[in-house]
Amino acid sequence: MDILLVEDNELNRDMLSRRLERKGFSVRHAEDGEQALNEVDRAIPALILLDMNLPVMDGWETSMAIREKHADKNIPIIALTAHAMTGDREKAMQAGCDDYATKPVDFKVLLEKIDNLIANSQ
Amino acid sequence: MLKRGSKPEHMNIRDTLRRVRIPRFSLRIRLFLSIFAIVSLFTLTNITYQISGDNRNQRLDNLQKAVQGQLSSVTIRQELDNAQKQILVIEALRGAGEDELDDDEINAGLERIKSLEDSISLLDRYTYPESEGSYQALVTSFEKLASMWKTYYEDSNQTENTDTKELEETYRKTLNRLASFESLEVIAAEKQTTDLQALSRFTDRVTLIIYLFTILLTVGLGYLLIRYTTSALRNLQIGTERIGRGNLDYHIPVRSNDEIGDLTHAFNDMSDKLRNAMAQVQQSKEKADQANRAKTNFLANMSHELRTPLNAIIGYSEMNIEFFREEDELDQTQTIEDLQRILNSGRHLLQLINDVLDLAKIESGNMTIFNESFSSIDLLEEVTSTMMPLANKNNNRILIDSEGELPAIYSDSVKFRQIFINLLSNACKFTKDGEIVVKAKLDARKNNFVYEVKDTGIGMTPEQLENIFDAFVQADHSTSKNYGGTGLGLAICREFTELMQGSLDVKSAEGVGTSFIVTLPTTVQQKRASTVIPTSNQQELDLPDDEREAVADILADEEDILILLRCSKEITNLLYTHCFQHENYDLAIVEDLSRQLPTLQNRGASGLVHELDASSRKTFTQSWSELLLILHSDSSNHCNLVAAYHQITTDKQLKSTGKTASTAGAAIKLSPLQFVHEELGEQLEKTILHGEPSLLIQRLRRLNPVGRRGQVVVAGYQNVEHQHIGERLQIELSAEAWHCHQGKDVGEVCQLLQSAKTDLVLINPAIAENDIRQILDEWFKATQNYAKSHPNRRLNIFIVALQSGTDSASARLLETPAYELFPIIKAG
Repeated sequence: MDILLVEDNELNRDMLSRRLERKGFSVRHAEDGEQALNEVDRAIPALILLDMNLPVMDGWETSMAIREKHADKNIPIIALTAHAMTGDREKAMQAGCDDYATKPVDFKVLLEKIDNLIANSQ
Repeated sequence: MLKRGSKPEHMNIRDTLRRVRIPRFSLRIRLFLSIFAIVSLFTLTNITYQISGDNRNQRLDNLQKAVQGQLSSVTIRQELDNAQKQILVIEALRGAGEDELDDDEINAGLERIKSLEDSISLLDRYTYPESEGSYQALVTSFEKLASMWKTYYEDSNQTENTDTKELEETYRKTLNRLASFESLEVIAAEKQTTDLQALSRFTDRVTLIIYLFTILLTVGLGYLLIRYTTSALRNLQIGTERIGRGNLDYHIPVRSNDEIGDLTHAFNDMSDKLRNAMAQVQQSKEKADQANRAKTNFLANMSHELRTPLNAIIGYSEMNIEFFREEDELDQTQTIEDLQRILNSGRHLLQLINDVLDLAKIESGNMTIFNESFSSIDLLEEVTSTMMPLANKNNNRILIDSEGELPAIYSDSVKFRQIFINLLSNACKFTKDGEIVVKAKLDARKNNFVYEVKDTGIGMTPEQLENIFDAFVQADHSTSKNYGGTGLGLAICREFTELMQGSLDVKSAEGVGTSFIVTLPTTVQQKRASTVIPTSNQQELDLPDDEREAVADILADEEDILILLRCSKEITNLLYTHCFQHENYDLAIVEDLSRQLPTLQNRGASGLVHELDASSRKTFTQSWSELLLILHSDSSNHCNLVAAYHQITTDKQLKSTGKTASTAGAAIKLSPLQFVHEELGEQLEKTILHGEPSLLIQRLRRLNPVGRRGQVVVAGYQNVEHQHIGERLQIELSAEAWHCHQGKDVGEVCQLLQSAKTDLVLINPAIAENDIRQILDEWFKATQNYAKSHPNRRLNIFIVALQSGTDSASARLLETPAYELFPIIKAG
């Protein structure tokens, strides 16, 4: 299962990808929105974990760009954000994300979400 | 008069009328004028009525006169006729040979003539001017007739033949005249009546006109008054309704200068004031809203900033727990690396929390500044040496470049250090293989120290520079990821420099480098206007320092200074003496200034320290004038007056004392020994005795700021009666992180003072005077030693005398302030 992890914080990227790999996913990395778009162009991932606070092109823009460019693909996107204020979830959903997880990430819950979304998209 | 014409003309007329009609009279005058006009018209009506009444009466009289005249003339004609007939009868009888007339008959005839005469003369009353001539003619004619008749009667017996013909003729004539008089009378009466009728008609008309005019005027004035008042009130009502609906910008037009005009002005003023008040409310609401928004924003940012390191901490911990549970063999290097990451994230979190707390403290105004003199270059060297590892990481060099010898700066060294640690770590982070230069110079012209931290790093764009000092702002989102940092450092630096009465500026060019410029003043502004410090300011933390500085300023240029000292309280004298002797002042204690004046003059007194309190105001003024005498007697003698005050319980007293001090002479400089007033002492005492530690702690916090708490020595609370205070002090001070030591006796206290640097000494003034002396001596010695070994450090030392107050044995000192505090000038 191919997951694209878009995260600019090195520690978080390292930690999440290692944990996901341990669960049997293959993880690709992107550090900002542009890289993420390139990665998606290169190969459509099974799921995207998308941090919202990204340099160059933020998570909302990236999500919208992916939805526009690959409208037929229906790639599941989970938004990751350290902003836990009310309205952030709606904002992410409006930008085309399928689900939403706040940092610090509850890994178990995140895994469930990933499994659910991948099962649904197939 | 104006005619009603076409409509526009009509409007014009109305306009003109409106403009002309209402003269600018007040409502009262208007009412008064109306009433006056109505009363005048009423009087006029009455007068004309009176005139017409008179007229009517006259007409009646006239009528009566005419009727009576007529009646009398008819009677007269009758009588004349009778008299003439009598004569004719007599004549006829005589003609028939009748006897002569007897006397009775003659007398009756004369009598008749007489009555005729009376009747005719009575007729005079009824004559009119027009009939006057006719009447006179009648009278003349009748007189002739009467005399002829008389003669006829008198001579009737003597004369045979009398000529009755002439008599007859005169009679006819008289009758004619009477007839003509009558006719004239009728004409005159008629004419008079006509005249009077005309007059009566005229007065009636006048009365009617005036009456109508009065009604018209009353109605008109009433209408105008009502109309004007109603319109003005309506105008006012509309205005107030508009204002009431919230249109506070509306101004009711003022149309008159009368009472309603005044009322309108009052309403307009009210709306102005309301508008101002509303604007203020609005403004404060906006401010509150803005603050609220800023707070929400800050919280959102905080949440974000806290979650990011927490994510790493929790994630790595969970992951490693999984490893430990599931893997048989652990990759040790990897685990250590992970733990290192957890540790770093934790540290980052701690730094974040500290920074946030600092900012919160600054914002709430609780961040205190503790000024002292230090060498900024020494401190900068210290800071750069600690920054070396960070600089080496990116292969940077740090240099200090100072222009000549910089004098010591008087500022807060802790905050100074923090500012430069922040700026230098920023510079190190954003520079690779470059050079970081710290330039320091004294701008003597502007009385500023200028420090510049210049790097050759990545720099910033003008847009990034704009809000670089805002909390949680870093030049770029990626910055904190790439370079670390909390985004609060610069905000804190700027706040700190502002608290230190300086400024922080930045210059930068992208790709070239950035330089931060810290400007700090050479002299710290004292936050007080007068030399007598208001009670509220006495609690300012840096005050003792300021006081000390100020004393030094005054006394610096003096040689062989003599301080005259006169204090009512023994303990105060003792503390003063120690304080000044250790500053190498030549000291004389003066009990009676006037008596000791000659001696003092010889010694060249140049300063006076005088205890100043409300009760000794008089003696103070006196002392000062005496001192002025010394000054005037010897012009080369320069004298400073220094007033010390204590035992001042209220602000009011303090103010009046200050006033007395300044009116006593312009040379008043300051109070060198700052006594915290009695009230405070009482509070402190209560605090200790009744177990309210918060108050004591508060006081002591002000003595020494957070992070600078050191050693405190408590002396004199070992005996049985004061033991509980000693224990209490120990507990409270320890809880506040002071290192608290109690000496069993004076010897042990002295040992404590010798062994370590002591920041605070608490002395029970109830102990023996010699003991206090000994403790103070030891204390000064230790201080001097410390000062010698730390030349750039200024010590801030307090002695706090505590008194139990409940002790009868210390009754002697009961009047002494229970709590006295003063800074001691650095020795050496």
